[in-house]
Amino acid sequence: MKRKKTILFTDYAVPPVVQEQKRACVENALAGMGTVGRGGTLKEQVKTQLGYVGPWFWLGLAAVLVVMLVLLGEASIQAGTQKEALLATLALFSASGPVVACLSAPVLARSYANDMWELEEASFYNLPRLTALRLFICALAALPVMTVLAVAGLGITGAIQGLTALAVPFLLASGINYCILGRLRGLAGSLCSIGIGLLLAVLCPALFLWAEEILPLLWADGTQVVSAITVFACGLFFVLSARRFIRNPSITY
Amino acid sequence: MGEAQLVRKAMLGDAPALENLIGRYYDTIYAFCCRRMGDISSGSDVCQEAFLKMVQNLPKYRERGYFKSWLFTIASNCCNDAFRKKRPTAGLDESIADDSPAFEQGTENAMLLKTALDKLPAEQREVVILRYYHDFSTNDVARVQHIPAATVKTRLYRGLKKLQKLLGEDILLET
Repeated sequence: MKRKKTILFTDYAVPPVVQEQKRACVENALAGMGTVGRGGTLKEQVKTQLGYVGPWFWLGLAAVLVVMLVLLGEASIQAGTQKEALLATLALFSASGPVVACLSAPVLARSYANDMWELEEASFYNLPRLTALRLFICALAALPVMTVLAVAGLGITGAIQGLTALAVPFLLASGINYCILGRLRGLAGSLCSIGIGLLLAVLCPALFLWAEEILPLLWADGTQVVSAITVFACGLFFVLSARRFIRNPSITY
Repeated sequence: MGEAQLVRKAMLGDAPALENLIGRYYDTIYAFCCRRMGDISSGSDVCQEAFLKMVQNLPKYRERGYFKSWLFTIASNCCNDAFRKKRPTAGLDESIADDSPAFEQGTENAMLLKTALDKLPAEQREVVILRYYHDFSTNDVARVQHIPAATVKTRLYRGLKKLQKLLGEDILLET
């Protein structure tokens, strides 16, 4: 019987690595690393990311804007007799803003849904910058909404009251959302964030109205001071938590 | 320093960490690309390309402990791109009959195996290479190719069967 010849997989060996080629590869990669993060002007950077925001996001935002305008119009009619209603409406929408942003976050971050293949352009930026860019898009989208709220509300309620009703819930809700998203990952983070956002949207107007009643009794002349301190504290909390959120390089949805 | 820590540092732009990372994987990726492409010259070029792509895509890497699989996915895609560029009208399944001098210097057994491997369809060749030259488990190969583990097993079975057929009845292929 003829004996079979044996071939092992290991027989097929690759010639040893040429060290010059390896060195060149490392140098090329290091040079390539230098180009990561150079993404042109802010306008160009935002433009590349805007391409990944779906049309339903903008439609949803427009729908929220229309609902706000209608409800604010209703509240404004009663403003002469029920100023609190207008303030509560402002606070409610202000706190709801980050919830809308949270709902939109998965679509803004959808490049992570299919590993690295979806966003070729995104390879020009590191993850913290990418996150910052997307938050910037959210902020740009929220700008017209907040402007409408400010124009509709401040003229009727007074600058300090209106500003507090707008800024405090928004900054507080955004700050808490960033805190959660900076620590929790995936669906759990998004759901937790949305849940707390909704809770704040309900609690903030009630707290605001309660403060409006209690504060003048405790310190008649101190309303403006307390408002300014509250806005500052909430702003600081927002900035710190947003900074942590942006700096966290492993945020995924 | 652990791999995860190196990757994290490289993601943040640490040049020594990146250099260390490339040093760790260069030989493996080089061997993979050479076998996958079927010639040393193309394999070396594709290897360079793969590491450049790795650097460009590091910001998008999701830290889940599968860096090696992720890197092999990049290398595999680079090989596919290189095949497309090499023969724009040919399918990926077609083998490249390009025997580079470096491989010809090998033993007779090596040449027989190389010729047979080059004749395998690209996806079967890749599964065989990953499994038998890089000790990848079925799940690891599945992760690299983004296919179910069952498909990996099928490709491996078919690949080995075809390989044995190509080598002939007188030759016994052993791992």
